[in-house]
Amino acid sequence: MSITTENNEKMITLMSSDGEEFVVEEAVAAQSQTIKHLIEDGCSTEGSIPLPNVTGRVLSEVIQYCKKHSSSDDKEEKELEAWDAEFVKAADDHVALTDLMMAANFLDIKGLLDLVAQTLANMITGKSPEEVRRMWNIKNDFTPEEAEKVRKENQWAFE
Amino acid sequence: MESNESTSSLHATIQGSSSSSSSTSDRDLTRPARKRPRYSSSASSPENGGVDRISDLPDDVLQLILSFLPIAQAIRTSFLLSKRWGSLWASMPNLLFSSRPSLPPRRFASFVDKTLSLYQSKKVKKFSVELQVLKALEGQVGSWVNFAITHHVVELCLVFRDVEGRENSITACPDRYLLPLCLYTSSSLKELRLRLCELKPNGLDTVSWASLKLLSLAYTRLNNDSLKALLLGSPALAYLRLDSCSGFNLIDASASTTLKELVVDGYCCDARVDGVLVQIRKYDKFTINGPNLLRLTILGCLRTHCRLEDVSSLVEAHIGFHMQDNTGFLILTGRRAMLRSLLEKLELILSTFEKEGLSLPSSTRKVLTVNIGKNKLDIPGMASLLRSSPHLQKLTINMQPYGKSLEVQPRVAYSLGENYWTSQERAFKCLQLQGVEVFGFYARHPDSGLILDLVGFLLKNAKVLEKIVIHVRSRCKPWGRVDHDSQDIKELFEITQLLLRHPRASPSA
Repeated sequence: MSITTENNEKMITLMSSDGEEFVVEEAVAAQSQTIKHLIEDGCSTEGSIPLPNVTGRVLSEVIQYCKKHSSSDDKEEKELEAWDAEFVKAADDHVALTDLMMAANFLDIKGLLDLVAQTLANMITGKSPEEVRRMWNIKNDFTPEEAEKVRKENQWAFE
Repeated sequence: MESNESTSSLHATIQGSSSSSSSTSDRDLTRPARKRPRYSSSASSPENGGVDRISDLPDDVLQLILSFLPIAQAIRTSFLLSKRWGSLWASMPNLLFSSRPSLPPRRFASFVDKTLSLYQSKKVKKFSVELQVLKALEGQVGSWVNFAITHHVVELCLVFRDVEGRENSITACPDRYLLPLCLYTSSSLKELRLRLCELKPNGLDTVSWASLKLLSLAYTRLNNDSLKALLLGSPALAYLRLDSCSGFNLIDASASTTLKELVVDGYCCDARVDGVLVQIRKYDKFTINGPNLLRLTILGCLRTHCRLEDVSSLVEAHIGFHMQDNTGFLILTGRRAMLRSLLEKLELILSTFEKEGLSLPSSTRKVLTVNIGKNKLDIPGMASLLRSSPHLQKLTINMQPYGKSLEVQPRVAYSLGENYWTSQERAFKCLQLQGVEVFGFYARHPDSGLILDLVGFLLKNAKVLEKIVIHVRSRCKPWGRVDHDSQDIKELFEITQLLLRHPRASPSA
């Protein structure tokens, strides 16, 4: 549904997978290419825009990011960088970051995707594959023989 | 490698890197406690039995994560993490190679070759190679450029370091890498950055960079025809930066309607004639013609005169260059002449505003920053600037020497006679100046007296002046800050008194 506020900002309502509703300015929500296209296709005129893949908790984080980045055209880049750093720090661990990443990917918000990808990459820079597996609970599905084979066949990458 | 390490030592590594607060050793086998319960995710606990949700992300997202790692680690991690990750690296969007001093160049080159030969995606977004100039690798570098172009690269970066590897120690005539002709045709390329290269397209109409927006060249050689060909072939170019480039003496952007910003940081006059390095005659001019330019920055060591042909659209100019030796009278004249010509252009803009009865909106400030640093303060130039800027609202004077050296050589004082500013008074009746800022002021600067004369003059004549801030530099307190009517620093007491004695035109100053 679209409401107009006093400042003539068009508002839209986003609904999370667990039924939470968020009323945000259209300009803020349109930083998500997915939402932007939904609005353009007229999906926002009747009722709210359902986002079946994003929980309310994650959506509120994403909206925070979009708000900051939509009102920041004239802001100092450094200030925004510091804000971004705090923002991903608040996400706490890789599980929360993965949720954010899923949402950023589904909603197609490029800046947020890059930010979270960079953060996840920083977490594992300099770590061995074994350490990365432990951090991210990735199951090692190679048998020792298979792992050795991968190494041998790709000797160039392990020198 | 790492799979041979013992379990307990791995735990210790994780512990050490992710939590600095745990002190007892009996926590070694557990993950650090979460800082906040706020984020109790659907993915259960982060204990070892937790769910791997990262691997559930789509391929392109995982590739994005990998492409933020150093490339060698990205490839190794991808190979060994799990079968799911196995070939992800081969479609990473960005390929950024950087040679380390510890790695022999040939090993580095064969690593790049191998990576590219196994790369699977049809497109690469960002391709970057940083390495030492090495004649023997030229053929390989050429094939990498060809790889990038045929993979529809969007951002291409080729940075060659000179043999010592130091960024700023370019020897008299370092080898430059002559780029292959395939580079000059790309419809995907948006940003191109080159260092220590040579650009030599085969003719005026042989460059076709339909999407190129940013071109940044450092220590790169190109002649006038090459530069012209690049500009002609880049119909979308908005930003051009030339750092210590050589071989040309004309930047003619008059045909480009899109080029808005030009940065020239240093300029070398050397050129090769029949393979022999010659120094172009010192006083030959270096000309910039850019009627559509909005922003112009000229910094660094120019070694020659700079002439501005037509820069009539400028709204922002940053002039901070210096000559290699500023002893020659001709050079100083050349610099003043150039400044004056720039100021005339600015006058032109402002008089247009006047004619149309418009005043400058306060949001679009006209800013002119003059770094005087090592050079002589150009008083006639400054006067001309002020005279031609009836709407100027903010004047910034930067007295810090450009670059790292803080030494100021004593010079013969620039004598204009005491009454210079008094003689100018009549021309300055409508000053709208509201703020003046002087950076890096210090009393021993040979030009400090001139600055004070200027500030005194402004106090006397600027009718709406609200604030003058002088940032002071002194030995004991590098960046003191003194308002013109407060007296924090002792050695400035006299100066302040002098300023206070000046009659003021503005009641609020």
